[in-house]
Amino acid sequence: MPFVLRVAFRYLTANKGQTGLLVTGVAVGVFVFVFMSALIGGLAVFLVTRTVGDISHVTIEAPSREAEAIATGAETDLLLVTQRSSTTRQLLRTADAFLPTISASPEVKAVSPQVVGNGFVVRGQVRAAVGVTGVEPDKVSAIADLGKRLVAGSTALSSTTVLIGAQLARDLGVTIGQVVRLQSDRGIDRPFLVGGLFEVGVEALDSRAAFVSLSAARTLFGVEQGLSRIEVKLTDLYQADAVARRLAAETGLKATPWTANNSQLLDGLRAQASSGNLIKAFALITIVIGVASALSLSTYRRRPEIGIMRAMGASRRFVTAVFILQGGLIGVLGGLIGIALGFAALSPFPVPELAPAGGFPVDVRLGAYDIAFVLTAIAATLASILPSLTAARVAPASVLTQ
Amino acid sequence: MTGTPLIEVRNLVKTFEDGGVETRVLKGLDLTLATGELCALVGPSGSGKSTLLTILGTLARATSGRYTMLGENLMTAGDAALTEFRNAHIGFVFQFHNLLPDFTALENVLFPAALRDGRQTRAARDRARELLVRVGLEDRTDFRATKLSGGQKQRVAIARALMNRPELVLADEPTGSLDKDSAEQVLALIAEISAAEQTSYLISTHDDKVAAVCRRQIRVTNGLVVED
Repeated sequence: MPFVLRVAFRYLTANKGQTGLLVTGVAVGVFVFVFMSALIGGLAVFLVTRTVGDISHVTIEAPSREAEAIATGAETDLLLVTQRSSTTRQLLRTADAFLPTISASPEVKAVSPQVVGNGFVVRGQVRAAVGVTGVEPDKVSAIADLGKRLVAGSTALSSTTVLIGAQLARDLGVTIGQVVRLQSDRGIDRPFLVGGLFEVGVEALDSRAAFVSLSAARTLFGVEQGLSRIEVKLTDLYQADAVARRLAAETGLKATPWTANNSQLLDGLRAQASSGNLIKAFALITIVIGVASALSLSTYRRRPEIGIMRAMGASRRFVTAVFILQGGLIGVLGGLIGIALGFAALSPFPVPELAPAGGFPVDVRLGAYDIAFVLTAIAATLASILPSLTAARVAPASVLTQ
Repeated sequence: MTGTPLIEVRNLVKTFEDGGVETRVLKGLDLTLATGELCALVGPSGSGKSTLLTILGTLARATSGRYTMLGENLMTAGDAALTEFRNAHIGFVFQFHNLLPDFTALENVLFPAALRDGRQTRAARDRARELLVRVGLEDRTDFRATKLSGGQKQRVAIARALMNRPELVLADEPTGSLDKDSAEQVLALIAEISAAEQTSYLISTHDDKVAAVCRRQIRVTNGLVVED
């Protein structure tokens, strides 16, 4: 073992009580750092999972048509353009060609081709406006996991069954096995059997949504070919922007990431992350101040010994290294203990995706253990620089006056 | 004087400044010391003995003059070079032993060699044990410095001073803090080792018994050598 390290170790172990307190202080700082990282990260995962987990991460639609010039006169200021149609739907007419490409993307977890439109659910004299989504029967739960949120019936869709929200069912006074009528905005009216009731916790879905099979939707909205949109779910929803850009470039279609319509949520998450970073910075500052003050005290107390070492031929560099190594060792030890404590404290909590409603949304995976360790070791080492330089300035001649 | 010159000091001046007031402690002191000499540095308090020791030990710098040891001009050497020189060629025995309290007797003796080598080598350990045997502390090698008596501490300090086989050992009142018996033991030890090795000793003392042991006595008064 290098002698300088041996001396640093000896100084740390010579006063176990003081070193123990110092290491504990550092460990507590690291614990706060780890816990805050897990809490802020977990809260973000929790919020995003709850708010974005059941929606499309990237939605692919037909591109908006630019106004088309009909005629321009070289000698006139008149410009004739077509008005955007309000009677024809924007459809992905060649969607079938793109589906394999989209599905093959490594980031894509699920793809749901859909025909959507507006309409009414009618039960006797009661009518409720709904958004009707036609999906492939085996992809009912591809985007919103309706299977998990089902409160009655099943998610199996046939050409004559409909899934509606539990709130909508209460409003209409219907339950499983009863018949309702769906009237599309195209004036087409069909009877459907209520096959399942779901409760997502989002009013827009629970009160104003109805899911039917893709073929039934085609009938209701008069769409024989093509799709209204393709909803895409990603394995990592934070890749949505990049994936949307790439899909738009590859297909020439309009690809909208979830972030485009959730800027307030993102702002909130950013503000939350900033607050967390501030608290973590304070934890690091506390570590720096603690280590610096303890080592300054140690330097002052050991001035006679430093003088003796210098008299025996210890260079300034050696003395500096002894105290910097002490800071580094305190940082490493305190960091490891703090990380272990943080991990132990966080482990009993379920990850936010599985946390029950009202649970504590900490995420043991997001403890930022490596960053906490590295930053603490660096901070403690930096904190020891000033005391070590003070120690190195002790004159060897001072030993004769002791 | 016996042997070849070890150190040569010419016209050495040391001035301290405090609050704009200059105090000249050494006023053009001349001194020559040969290899293997056992010298006593005597004189009243405030005569400049300790200041001279710190300069000869390269612990402090003279204001002006010439100081060479082993042919090296130590007036112009940088801090790092002086530190290295001190480690290799000069040993110290202080009045209050000045051992490192958190280290054992063996580790204290080893310290200068470990500083030189960057680690504790087996050869250095053997040398340190041998020195502790020589000063009669073979049964105290693993005792912390704080667990030793005053006389034992001073004997460890002597062993430490000899660890790197220095050419010069500077001792500042080495028996000043010891009782009569311990003082006699330490003195006998210094005389014995001095006779056995070609190491020069310069011992600053007020004690006539210590001075009497030395073959040469240098009297310093008012910053000058007045009797040699």
